[in-house]
Amino acid sequence: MKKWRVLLLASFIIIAGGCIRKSILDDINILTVIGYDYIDKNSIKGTALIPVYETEKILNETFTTTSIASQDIFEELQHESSDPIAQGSLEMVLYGEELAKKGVIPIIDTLQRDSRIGTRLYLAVVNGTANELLKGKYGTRGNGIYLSNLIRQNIEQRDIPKTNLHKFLYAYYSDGRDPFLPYIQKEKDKVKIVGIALFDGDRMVHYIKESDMFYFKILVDRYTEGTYTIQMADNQYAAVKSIVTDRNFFFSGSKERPNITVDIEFRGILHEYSQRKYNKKIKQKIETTFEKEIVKETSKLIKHLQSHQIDPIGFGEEAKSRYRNFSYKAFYENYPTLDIKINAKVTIIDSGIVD
Amino acid sequence: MQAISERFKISPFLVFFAVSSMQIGIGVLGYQRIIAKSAGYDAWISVILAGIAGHITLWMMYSILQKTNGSIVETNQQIFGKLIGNILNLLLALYYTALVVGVLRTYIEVVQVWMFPDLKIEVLAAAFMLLTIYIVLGGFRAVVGVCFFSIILPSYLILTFVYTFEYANFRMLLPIFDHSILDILKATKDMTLTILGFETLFIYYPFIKNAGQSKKWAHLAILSTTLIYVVITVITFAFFSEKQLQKHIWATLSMWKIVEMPFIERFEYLGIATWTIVILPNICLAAWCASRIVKQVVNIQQKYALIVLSVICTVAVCLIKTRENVNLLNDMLGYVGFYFLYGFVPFIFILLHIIHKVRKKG
Repeated sequence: MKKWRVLLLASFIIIAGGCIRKSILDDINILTVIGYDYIDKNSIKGTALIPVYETEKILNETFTTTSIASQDIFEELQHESSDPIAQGSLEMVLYGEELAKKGVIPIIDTLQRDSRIGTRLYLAVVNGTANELLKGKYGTRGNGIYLSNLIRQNIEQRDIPKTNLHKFLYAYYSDGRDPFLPYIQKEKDKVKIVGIALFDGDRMVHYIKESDMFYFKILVDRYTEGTYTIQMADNQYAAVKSIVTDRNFFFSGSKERPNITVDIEFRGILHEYSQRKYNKKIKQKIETTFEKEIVKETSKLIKHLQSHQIDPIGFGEEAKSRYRNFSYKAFYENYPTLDIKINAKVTIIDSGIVD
Repeated sequence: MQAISERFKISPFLVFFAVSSMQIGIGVLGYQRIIAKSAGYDAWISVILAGIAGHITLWMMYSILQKTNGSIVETNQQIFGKLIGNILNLLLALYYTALVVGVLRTYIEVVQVWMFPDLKIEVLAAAFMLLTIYIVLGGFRAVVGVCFFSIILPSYLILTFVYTFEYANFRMLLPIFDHSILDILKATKDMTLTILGFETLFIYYPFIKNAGQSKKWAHLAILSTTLIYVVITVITFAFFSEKQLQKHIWATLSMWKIVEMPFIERFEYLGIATWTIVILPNICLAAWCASRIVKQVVNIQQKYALIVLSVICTVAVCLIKTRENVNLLNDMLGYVGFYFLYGFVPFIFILLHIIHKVRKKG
């Protein structure tokens, strides 16, 4: 009896252990970035970036191919590569601007369908073509790491709102929100973030300029660790480092046509002030100037979004959670003319180690 | 019917593990979109309702079992007589066998889709059934041992949901009760497959020492699984937007895609591998129940019943080829389970009550 059981267990281990194809790390090409560009109605160009690790340095190898569907591009790329291409650690996907304007969902579909691809993946729109951007050489650790670090640290410490594949799909499938993606551009041996690409459904319709990104982020996300310079009336300026921002929405009136108030709270520390003297009065002056600026700029930004009929901030979702039997259709019919009021409250907690 | 020897029995508190490990299985990997289909983001209320319904059914089951002082096999024989009672018992055995097939095939489907597309169904099915035979041959106590570990070992997985908080938008659960009562009840019905499993108690009840004491542990088990389900439901609803959720067949697994750890790129692989331990007791306990019924009804050794059933299960698993068929099987299991829990159990409960009343008078 005992022998029997050992035999059973042994056969289980043997059978279960030997039946799957293996992928050994040295024998595969790890895809880190893939870029897509629009060619014509029936085809897109895919550029895949694969880091080749050599002693001392990392080379960027790119493969380019054209096809009609994005999954096909993965297959086509295999034809050019001597080792099988693994997609499991894809870190970033780039879309050429023209393609983004035509719609990205047909291409994103493979990303969300493929079980091997994580949803922390960054997406970005390229001003120009993705192919050209990927052909460049940036940083010392390979283009893949350069690009994903560029986005990551700008999300964590600067003015790109939190974004990744999951966030994009969340917004795309939500009725009360529109997606957005970082908008990047090649500049010689660097890549620069030039704004935020705004989408209506899956088509890019517009973008927010770099100077407005701060205001956009405080509207959609919590903003931490960024520095913002305030131009004061008397030709002085003050730099304020943010600790945390928060925003709250208040709705009143009918559900088809609510009056919306957004309270923005900003808490930060003074980083730099151009005049020698700093006291309570000046502190208040900086605060009120900054408050006014936030109200002015964010109102302008929201007006702008309203005029384009897009809602990346998610007013629709916020409204839905506050009204029963809510209809997105009725809400968005009135959306461009809704009255959206901004209140800002800036608090400077301290002024560094000197007064 | 000979009494079961003390040394084959389990302590009352182990019923907690037997009940909860049987409930948590393949349903929890993807029930969210099914319940959200009818009740939208109010469906977490349905989860609570399903839990309450489970408690009531469990209470009835204990009442039935205490009255018969044996398993459901004897109850059926007592109420309906030898012939009809045994037909019912064999149907019950069929139900538990179907449970084995459903759980195993769905898990293989998950492994195929998420990890190894080129995996052969036959190989994994055979390996799993061999392991099941091995465990069940060890007796009921060994099966409960597996149940115990299937709760303890994978319990760390609940911590991984912390990663989703960063992206969770709990506002979307508001306003509460935005759907009609009927929609919410329909979602409660759809929860059946996920909450199913504690009806195995019907068979292993005679194997519990001081069975009366185990009642509180069984209720505690249902309470904990309901609680876990509510938490997972709320997190899922906060994490996905409504239409996005409808796209994800295994929402719980899809949520693991956001987990990022320095030492592992894709956490799902670890999660799915761990899930082997979670579904193992489902298969073992159900196979044990099925073979136990066959033993009692046909009067053969449980060993032979088990081996025959395992072969049937392996063949059945291999015959189910496509996603549609897997879904159909699961829908059917949920359907049958629904009428079993909320139709058959109350029916027997009332019938037994009346019979006892009448006998007392007579």
